Amino acid sequence: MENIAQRSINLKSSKKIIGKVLIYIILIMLTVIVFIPFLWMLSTALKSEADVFSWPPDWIPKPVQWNNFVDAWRTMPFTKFLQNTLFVVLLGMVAELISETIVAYGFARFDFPGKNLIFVILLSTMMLPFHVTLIPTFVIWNKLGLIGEFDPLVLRAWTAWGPFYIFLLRQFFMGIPIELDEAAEIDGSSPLQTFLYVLLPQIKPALLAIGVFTFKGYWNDFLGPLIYLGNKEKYTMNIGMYFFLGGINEAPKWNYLMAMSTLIALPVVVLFFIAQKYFIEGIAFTGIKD
Amino acid sequence: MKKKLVGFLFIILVVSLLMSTCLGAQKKKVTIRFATWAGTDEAKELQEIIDQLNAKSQQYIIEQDSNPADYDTRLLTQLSGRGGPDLFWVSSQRAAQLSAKGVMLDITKMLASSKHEAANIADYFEASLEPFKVKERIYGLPWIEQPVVLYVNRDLFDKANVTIPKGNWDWDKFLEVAQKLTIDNSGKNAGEKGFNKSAIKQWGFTVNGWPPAQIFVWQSGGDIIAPDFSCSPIDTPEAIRGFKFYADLINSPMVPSQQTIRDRGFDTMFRNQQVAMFMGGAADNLENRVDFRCEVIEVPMGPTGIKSTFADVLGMGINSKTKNPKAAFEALLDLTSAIHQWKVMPPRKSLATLETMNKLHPERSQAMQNIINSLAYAQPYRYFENYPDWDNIFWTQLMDPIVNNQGDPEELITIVKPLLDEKLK
Repeated sequence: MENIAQRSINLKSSKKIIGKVLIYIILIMLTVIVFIPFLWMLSTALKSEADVFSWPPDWIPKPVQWNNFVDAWRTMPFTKFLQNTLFVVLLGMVAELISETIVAYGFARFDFPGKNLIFVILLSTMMLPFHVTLIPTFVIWNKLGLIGEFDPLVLRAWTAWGPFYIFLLRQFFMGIPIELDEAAEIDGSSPLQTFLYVLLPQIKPALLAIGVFTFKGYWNDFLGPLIYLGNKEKYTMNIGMYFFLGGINEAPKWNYLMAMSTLIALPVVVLFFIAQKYFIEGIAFTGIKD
Repeated sequence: MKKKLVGFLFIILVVSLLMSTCLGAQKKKVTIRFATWAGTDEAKELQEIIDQLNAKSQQYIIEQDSNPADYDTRLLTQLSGRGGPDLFWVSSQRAAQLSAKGVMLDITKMLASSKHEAANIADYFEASLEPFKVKERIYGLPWIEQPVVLYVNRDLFDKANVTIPKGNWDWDKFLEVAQKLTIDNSGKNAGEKGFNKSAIKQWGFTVNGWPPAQIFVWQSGGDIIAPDFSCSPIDTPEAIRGFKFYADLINSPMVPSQQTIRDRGFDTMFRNQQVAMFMGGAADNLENRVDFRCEVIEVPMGPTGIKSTFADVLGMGINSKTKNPKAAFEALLDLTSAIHQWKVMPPRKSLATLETMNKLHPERSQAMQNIINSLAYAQPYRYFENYPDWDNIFWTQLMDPIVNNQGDPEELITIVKPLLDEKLK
């Protein structure tokens, strides 16, 4: 009897092991599939121009052209492009976090006439694709005389233009017991103090998750800078790297393009690993998925 | 005291008036924003030209804003939003659309009253001006008219013991040459017995939608859009013959499969000596950019002796909302003229001579005569306001199945023709 029970346990545990092995095999295969484009990008970034389309393709270039990174960087003013990108990304990210948190706090904790209607209108703007509003928005910035500058990219962030993030933060605020606010009020705290010292520390994971997403959004933004920025002095990395696509009678420099793509992808990857813990916590709370 | 004060104020007034008059006399140069799709190298060369023009001009300072990234999206959004550059490069297709919509400035009168060499309309090849004309009004100027020519790898020709064709050669000769230059792993060519078409190491020619099928339809005596824009006569026997030749070529062993082209790169296969003949724009200058002996010859003529090739026309227009139309016009003329000296081929009769072109581009002396010959019979597409919609149907419903899915041109034409005709109404 004992032997049968033991055998049944062994069978179960070996089934478990086989199941796990299978899952790992599938996961590893999926990881490889996901990594292939990244490895291809890295491999092309390290090839000479002539070897980019060599057949059969070499995954490990011979010789490895490390200088592609330096040469690509020097071909165009990428230091300037990086400064511009950081300027837009940091200001945009901070502005969005501040403006959207304040708006979400307002919707979560204050009552005012037409609150629900305004909130519904706000949410309905999520349904509008960016491309639909592109020209009307351009006309507005043009009338304000701010085309060609960074203003349209940065100032828009102060208008709390991310309804999705406002919605999530509002839900987050609503999940915090109102008693905390009341206790703070009894202790003499003003609404601003309650917001800053009581509520904000509670929503750190959500702020971090949204921070990472807005960083990624601004860092990868292509269409905004393409439409609004006036000349090479103001270009961001994403726009600058397109110069390597060549022209009508100029062949694309794929190795340079991939070198710059690798460099551009790097900060987002690094940021993800640094903020991973908070980020996943934030996603678990907020349910954000990219 | 009062008198002194009045006198003092009077002196200040006079001095101010004098100063403002003097300063006003020094004309301020206006800034002309100039958008192009130039890539890294092209933008650098263009900047040198712009620097020279800016130094000479009393009227303008041209600020280059070049970027090949989604050029049309950017330009159209900016122009639709009543902003955008003062001056911009424009493809013929877009020019026809923007001119018709009044987005580009009508420069007919300004051209007539200007004595600038680039304003002499009679000097331009008629075909090059067509995309910029709407009801005899002119909305822009072409800066290049590059005919499609054939780049051939002399090393591979010599190796296969094939003479490079010259002058009047036709489709049959073209197929014969392409066959001899298509080699399998055992060294046999496509015309030999025992040729293994599943183990080809070198192809005679390459097609991936480029060169355009129009070339072969025109050479066959057919047309794609009627001269009066009334219909798309792609169902005539001549046009069908052109499309069939094109489709047969794509499906023959002489042309790599579309998957192979995607894997190895279209023009890269020619640069890597895996393809022996390549049709490209005259301005591509491939013969000076590859590591083997490369020559430029004319494309073959059709079965009935019709010579035809595609001419890619690119030009420049002025934003009709510009605040400085006069300065923008001067900049347009100066830039157009300078680019005519820079690019192959200028769309002007006075410049498109062997002597002038050899002086301007001595490094292309072998190619120049054939390029000039090609220009004589080169033609652009027939553009009209609704051309992008027409073109979308033409490419997605006719050309894409032919190129990528071994579609039968005859069957497809019966389905697609009514749709194309509808867009011309």
